[in-house]
Amino acid sequence: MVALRFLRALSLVRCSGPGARSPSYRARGIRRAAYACMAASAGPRRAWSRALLRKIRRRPGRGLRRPRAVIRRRRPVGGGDPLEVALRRLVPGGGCMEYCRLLEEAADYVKCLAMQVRLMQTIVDSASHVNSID
Amino acid sequence: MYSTQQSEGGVGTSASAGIVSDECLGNTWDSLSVVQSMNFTEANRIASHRDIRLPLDHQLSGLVAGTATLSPSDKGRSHEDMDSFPSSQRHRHNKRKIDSFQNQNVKVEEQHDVLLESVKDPSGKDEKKQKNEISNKNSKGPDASKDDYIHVRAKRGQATNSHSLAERVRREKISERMRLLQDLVPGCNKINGKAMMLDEIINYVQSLQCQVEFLSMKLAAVHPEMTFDLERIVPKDVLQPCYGGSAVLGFSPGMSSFPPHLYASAFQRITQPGTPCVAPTSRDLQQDSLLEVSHLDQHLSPWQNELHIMNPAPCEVATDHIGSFLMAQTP
Repeated sequence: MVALRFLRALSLVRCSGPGARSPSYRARGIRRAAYACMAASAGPRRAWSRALLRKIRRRPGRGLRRPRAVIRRRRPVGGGDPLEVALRRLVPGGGCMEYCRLLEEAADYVKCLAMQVRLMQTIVDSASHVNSID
Repeated sequence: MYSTQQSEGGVGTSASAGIVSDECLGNTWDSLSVVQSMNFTEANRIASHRDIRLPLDHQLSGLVAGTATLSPSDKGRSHEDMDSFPSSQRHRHNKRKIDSFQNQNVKVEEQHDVLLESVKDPSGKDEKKQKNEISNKNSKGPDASKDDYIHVRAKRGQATNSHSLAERVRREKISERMRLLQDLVPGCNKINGKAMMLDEIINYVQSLQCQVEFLSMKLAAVHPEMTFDLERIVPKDVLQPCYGGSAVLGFSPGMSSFPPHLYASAFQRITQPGTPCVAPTSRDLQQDSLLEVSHLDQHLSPWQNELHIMNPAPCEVATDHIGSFLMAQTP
């Protein structure tokens, strides 16, 4: 599922401006696409996928925000443990969760990340293989 | 996040399961309101189905009458609940679904030498507990469960305070999550400490994120030369988003019961999602893809012929490779 989304997104990135953009711009676009596909395929049931999609869709410069019905808990968690704080920063949406929830989301996030990395590696390998054939 | 059905021994109604599963989705429901809403509807049903009372009923009634501290939200109902012992007991039972509640309602008085009896659920996975059961303090080890619900037992020599019991359950939850994480992160089998484990996990996540960045840069460099068309790799009907895993490729019915995506984590075992699909919980990621590949072998060869025909020669290998990876991925 992720693979389909990602390939579709890749072709979109390619179509947007093939020759005019610098590789770094394209790299950023690809990275965004990778995270978006990962979050989209993980589903809305995961807190990290929702937070990740929110972060991606929230472009800088978009000032007007409609009032949302969902109340997001912003209770400052007493972060005494530096490891826990670091983990909260790494996992998207990890600022407002309890510790147990954080570990659970981290496990799912790690799984999806590993899958995404494998997918991208495969694509790169096959692409470089094609290039080496020519 | 926790299955109510296990704790209620199959008595749990769909209403309660629905409510709790919604709550487990991370909605910011007030836990109070959830329990209150299910309290009275569930109370009669549960009480009628189960033989709740234990032999030491009178002690409990004394305790219940004696407890002065109740959470402020309970005060409205506390008076009517205090009248009849069975109703207050029911009230307590239903309250125990949520961790934050555990410390609030009843203070177990240690002078009475009471022990909160805990019998683990037969499946061993449920972590809900009911705290008000009382049994003999000197009995060690878990009893065979006379009733269907879950309670936590404080072992001999451990504190029977409700606070410490809640903490212990929380610690067990955390350690279970850590064990699952240990399975995910490679090379963490030898590490036993929580801090070192967390360190490893953080390093692994950081390395994965770096890999994503690096691979995206590589893809950006490689991408303009790569001219693949999505329609050529995969037939059009697979491109339709199909969360139900329908028989797009002519899968066997067993396949269509797969979860919509391969990221069904082990925790979904416990969460009892309301989805119609039954998640094959015992499989991990690799097994999923292996199974699908094995199912798809028969379908792959005609597709490969198609690919051979449609694609120009240089792209053949790439598209085959990507195609096989895709087959492994799609549900």
